[in-house]
Amino acid sequence: MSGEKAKEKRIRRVNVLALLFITVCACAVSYLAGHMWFQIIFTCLLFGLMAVLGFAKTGLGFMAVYLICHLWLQINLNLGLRFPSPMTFSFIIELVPILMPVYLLVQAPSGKLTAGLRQLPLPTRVTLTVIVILRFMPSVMAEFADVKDAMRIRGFLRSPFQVLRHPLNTMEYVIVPMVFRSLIIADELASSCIVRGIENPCKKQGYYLNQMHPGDGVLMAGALIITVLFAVL
Amino acid sequence: MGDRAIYCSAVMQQSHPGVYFFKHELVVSNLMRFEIERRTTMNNQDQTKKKITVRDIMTIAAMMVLTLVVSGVTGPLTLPFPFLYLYVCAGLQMFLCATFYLVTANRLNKHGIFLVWGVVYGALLALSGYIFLLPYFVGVAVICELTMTGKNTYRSPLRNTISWSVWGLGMMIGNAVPIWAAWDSYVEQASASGFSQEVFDMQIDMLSSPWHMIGACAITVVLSVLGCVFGNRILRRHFQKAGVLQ
Repeated sequence: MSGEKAKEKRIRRVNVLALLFITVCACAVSYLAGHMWFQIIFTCLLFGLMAVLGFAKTGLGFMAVYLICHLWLQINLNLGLRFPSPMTFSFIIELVPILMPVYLLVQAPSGKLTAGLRQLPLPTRVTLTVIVILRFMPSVMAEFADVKDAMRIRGFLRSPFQVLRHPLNTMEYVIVPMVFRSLIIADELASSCIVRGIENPCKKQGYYLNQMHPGDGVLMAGALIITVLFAVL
Repeated sequence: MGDRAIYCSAVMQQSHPGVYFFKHELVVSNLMRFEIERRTTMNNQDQTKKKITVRDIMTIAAMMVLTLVVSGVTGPLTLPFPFLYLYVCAGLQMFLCATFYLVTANRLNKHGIFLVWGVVYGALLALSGYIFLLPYFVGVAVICELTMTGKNTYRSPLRNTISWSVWGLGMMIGNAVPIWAAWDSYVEQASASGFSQEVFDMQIDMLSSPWHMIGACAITVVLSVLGCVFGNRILRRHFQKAGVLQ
């Protein structure tokens, strides 16, 4: 419990815009790195950042996926295997370093995320939608697990053959409850936001302040230097 | 008849404030207040009909999450099969996600849905590295909005099918935009990643031969239309019956 609190405290200290900047740097390194090793080093550094912020376990998961994909790709290349396609591995290898800072971004409290995104020159509607989408993902996953359980109890998932034989029916059984549940959550969220005064046109002040600290500056400068070095070299 | 007379008096009173009625004065003043409140509410409703509210944004976000989850699943599933990934993936996503779009469109029935959808989708892609796709998807969203000009078009199955197909075409061409934009660096990266000659040829065929591109677009449009047909059926059978949608 105290570990969770310490983790929360650490992620609260980091500026959201710094995390966003690291995400952009990760994108640049992922696509523009001159050598494979630069990307691997950058991913290791991101793992270090995740560990410092208290997400070592998740970071280890990301690293495992990243290294397995690299290894599998090398095996495929050496043995001349065409399945699974190398496209799959290169796609995952490019995506993992980007997902690591995005994961950290999502872990920031939603109030702080809102405060940080409000500082960007983006329309309120877009900011709000992006925040809701980032927050909604875990809820949708949980809802999907419930729907899957309900389908299994009713015997709709008895065998893969049954699913393949009636794909449209299976789709309907998944889509309809998912949409109903999502609409209910959306309405509840909207009511909660309205009650808290989101529609009031005055300038909003959040509970969280997204201030830039010296540590954030160091983090951003480090990310920028590494990105420029790896992208140019 | 009496009620109608009182109602007319109230309207008269509102339009001619100097005129006084001696009979039913209290009732008339109450009705006047009711009439003014009704007109104000109607005006507010008209305004909210044009604007996208917080509730609408939440609905769009909820449906977009479902769309992104489906896209996130179908993309990697088709990746091991290059033909499916290059030619069918976008169409498959359009087929599976049509219901989510139709629920949003029928529920809100407001212009600007596609614009919000496109900007947010582009912003999320920009967040995952494809920054140059943000203006592209904003452009596609504007075209989709243009296909929806008119009143109550978001509740018309035909117009929704057309706009969803246009969005599908945008998605299909959007897959090729990063490769067109940086072909040399893509080839370099793909060679390092061990892409086979067969996959390379397939990509070059698709991007350079208009017939291959037309074929891929046709597959996408057909799947988008089928998705809308299936989605409209679900809407009628479940959501309209339950009273969630009109």
